[in-house]
Amino acid sequence: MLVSLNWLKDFVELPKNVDGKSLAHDLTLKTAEVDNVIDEGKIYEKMVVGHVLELHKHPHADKFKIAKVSIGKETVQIVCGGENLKEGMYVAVSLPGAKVKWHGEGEYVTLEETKIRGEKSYGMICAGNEIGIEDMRAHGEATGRARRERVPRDRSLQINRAQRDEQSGSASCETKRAYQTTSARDIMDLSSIKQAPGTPLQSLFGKNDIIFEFDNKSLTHRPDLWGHYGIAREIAAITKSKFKPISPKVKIPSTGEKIGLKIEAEDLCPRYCGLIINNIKVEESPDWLKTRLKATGHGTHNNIVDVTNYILAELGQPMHAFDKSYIKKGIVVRRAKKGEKITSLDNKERILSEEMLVIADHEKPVAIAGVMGGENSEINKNTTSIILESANFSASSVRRASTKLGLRTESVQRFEKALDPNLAELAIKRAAELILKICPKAVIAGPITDKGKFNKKPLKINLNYKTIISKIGVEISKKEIMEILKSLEFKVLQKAQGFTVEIPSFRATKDVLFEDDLIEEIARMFGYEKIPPSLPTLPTKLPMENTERFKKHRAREFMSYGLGFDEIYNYSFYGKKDFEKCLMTEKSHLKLLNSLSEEQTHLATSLIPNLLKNLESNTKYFDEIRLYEIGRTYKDTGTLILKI
Amino acid sequence: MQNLETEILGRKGKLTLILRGIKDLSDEEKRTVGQLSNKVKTSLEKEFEHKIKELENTSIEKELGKTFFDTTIPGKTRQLGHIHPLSQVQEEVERIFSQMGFAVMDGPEVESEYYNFEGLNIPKDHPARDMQDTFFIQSKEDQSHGKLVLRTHTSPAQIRTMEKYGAPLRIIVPGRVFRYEATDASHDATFYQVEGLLIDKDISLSHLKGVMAQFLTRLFGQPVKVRFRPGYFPFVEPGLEVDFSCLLCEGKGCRVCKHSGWMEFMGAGMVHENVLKAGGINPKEYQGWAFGFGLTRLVMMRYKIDDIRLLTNSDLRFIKQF
Repeated sequence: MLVSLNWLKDFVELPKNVDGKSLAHDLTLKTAEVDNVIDEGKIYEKMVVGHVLELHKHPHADKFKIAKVSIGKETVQIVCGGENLKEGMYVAVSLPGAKVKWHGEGEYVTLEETKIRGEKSYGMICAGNEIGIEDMRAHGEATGRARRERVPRDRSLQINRAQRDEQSGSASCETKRAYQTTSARDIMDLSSIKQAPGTPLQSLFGKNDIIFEFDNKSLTHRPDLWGHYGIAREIAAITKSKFKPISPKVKIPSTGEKIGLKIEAEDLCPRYCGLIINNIKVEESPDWLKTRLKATGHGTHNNIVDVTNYILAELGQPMHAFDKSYIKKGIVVRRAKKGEKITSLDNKERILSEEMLVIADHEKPVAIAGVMGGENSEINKNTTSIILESANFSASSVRRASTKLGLRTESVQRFEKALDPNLAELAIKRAAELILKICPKAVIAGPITDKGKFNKKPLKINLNYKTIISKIGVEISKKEIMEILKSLEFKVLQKAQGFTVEIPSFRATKDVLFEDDLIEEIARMFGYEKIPPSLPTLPTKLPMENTERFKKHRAREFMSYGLGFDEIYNYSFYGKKDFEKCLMTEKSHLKLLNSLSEEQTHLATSLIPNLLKNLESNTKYFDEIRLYEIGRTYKDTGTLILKI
Repeated sequence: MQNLETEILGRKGKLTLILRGIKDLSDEEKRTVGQLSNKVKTSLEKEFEHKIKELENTSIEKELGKTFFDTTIPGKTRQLGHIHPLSQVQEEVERIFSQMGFAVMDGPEVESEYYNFEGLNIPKDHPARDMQDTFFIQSKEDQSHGKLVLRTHTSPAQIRTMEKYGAPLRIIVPGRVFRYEATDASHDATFYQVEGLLIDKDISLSHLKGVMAQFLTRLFGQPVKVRFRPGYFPFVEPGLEVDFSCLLCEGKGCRVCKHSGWMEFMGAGMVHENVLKAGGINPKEYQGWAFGFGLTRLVMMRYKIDDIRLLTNSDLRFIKQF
């Protein structure tokens, strides 16, 4: 998951020059692993707009030109191989010290001033892919999967593009290749923008964000961290900064047009909120919205769809918007009928089964609940009236449907973590606020339709002080424990033996359910690094001996050091051909249901078939082969061994 | 000499014939003659043997005197074989933990779904089953134990050992595990893990840090520090990712540790109360931690092996380097 620092700042008061790397470090040690920190500004360091004033031929190389380029106050000489380079062109110039990708490929390298075939070159005139501009597009369009190349921190590697050109020029075929690559990737033409020479590219492209890339696996157990809001809450607790709770400023009318809503499968849909908004104008989203979506790896479509994605990235609540004109009568939340079909938004026909939850109108399914919307009610440029959906679906139901359909979306990713039903209400208000901001003429048609059954009584857990200290293994004061829990929005009451803790709803769906879960909260925020290493007292009795293992190790010494045999490890599998060659039958073999290859379908009842193969493969290299394996074999005994 | 020996002591030798005649004598004569003749026979045999050896020695010495014998020529050596690096490191790991009072345990590689998942607090539909791509075995489904699988981690041994021995418990379980996933230079469908479990009255995260630091320091023969990060595994709570200080730069940051100063090492945490319960241990009475690290990865790190497949492709050119 990609998280933008600018976005986080909406919800947590951070110092202006917060260090992205140290924040990422703190998050990794206390919350979840940050794989990567992308400082957008740093990427464009030492890169400016240049104006090509003069262009001359290179006296010693046909492929190169010598350009006199104005970079603001001064004019510099740069040797360049770009074919489309013209006098008067505005270009992107990387000055010595900038990091560029050589021809847009491989690692970033740091430029330095150099001479190319005897001519001075102060920096380089860049193609888009050499400074990550193409990257940027790919980054924005792929949904969350694209990764940005990391700028290597190793600054010792200093090489210049032109130097490389020269080096490769020493061999003729190499020259040709280098030349072709250069001409294929033209210099980026900034003439249409006509910015003053010397303008930093960072401000030209409006890049001033820091992007954190979280390891999704480390967020598996935290449904509250799948949006900027939740991450901001953690950061506030970690850095002891002020958290700014969100409160949408939007007036929802108390009367008016409501959605006809029927929840038939209450067990799979604890809550469903719906809202009708009329007078919509579907168009491109404003730049600020697109910038944030792109920075966090989301595609952009139109203002309405973009708002739902914005809410997903901000609050972690997946939403959906239907074109109201395609919804017949009202919304029904029900299990799919056997064999029922729907064409999902990705243009594929999906056949549904009875355990899947669908959102339907009175005629047809219009969405696979929590997985993906249907094409039949998609927002399009003629849409004027929408139904906004913000719901809570059963985690395991969404997950099962997704697995069965082979369709994993960002929505599934969040629902399967067990979201807080209270989030649905906050999200729909926030979405309404944003839509009204973007489409000022839009009108909320009536009150929010809000149905469903979920537990509204807050969970309370008793926490024993002695247990906390005994499990963490370091003295932590009661005062500090209370501060930690409160910073994470737990409500704490001190008791004789410890505390009674009320769990906020956004942590109570799965993550914090019993005492040890709270001990984890205390330990991580206190700081794992502050737990001193210590050794448990050693019992005076000796550990049980494992005679078999001990003897196997002795056998290895005997075989290898006594008899000169080499030990090898084989896989536990072989194929039908292998054991048949050894005159064995399939009888008493355990067979795999899912195997990786034809050679790995059966569990070995004997080590010999694989050993014979080893002999064969080694005869190429050795005249004398002595090998052995000490391994397990597997026999189908027809019964399940439950205890050993 | 041998001829003479046969003439006297052989099957038809002079003394043998005398001895055979004894049976015709009277009882009293038998006793005296028998004793005497036996004495004569043994002393003759001894003398013969002695003389033969003496003659042999003289002839060898005579021979040696004639030809040149170079005593400095090395003997014909037998090539030493090689123990697989996984076995070598595994034994070392077992030895270090044994010294710290841990028993070495085993568990079956063909497991039930219950032991591999449910018993470890990983119910069906749990997202963590995503990370556990599993080999299933064609078998009937047991009502409470589910299908047969190849264990995806060594953790099932936690429950099996708890069931069998109860608390307190101090064990490691090194063993082979399986994942249904495509193979490449850093992933194999078969690899080795070491599970560790320490259950007693007052066991804490501080002890985990201490024991791991001791173990790694001994294994690598240089001071090693241990770092905890939050991590998520359904069978522990709190759950941890455990890193150790980079051996090359000692925590300063270098290419090997990707400039972080730390190497990712293993997952660990305090044993989840549901797991203790599944093992028949009362979580109110006992507590403890568990860890699981990749033995295969440790071997690769130690010997700087860059392709995991070398460990199982049985190429003797590789094995002979250890």
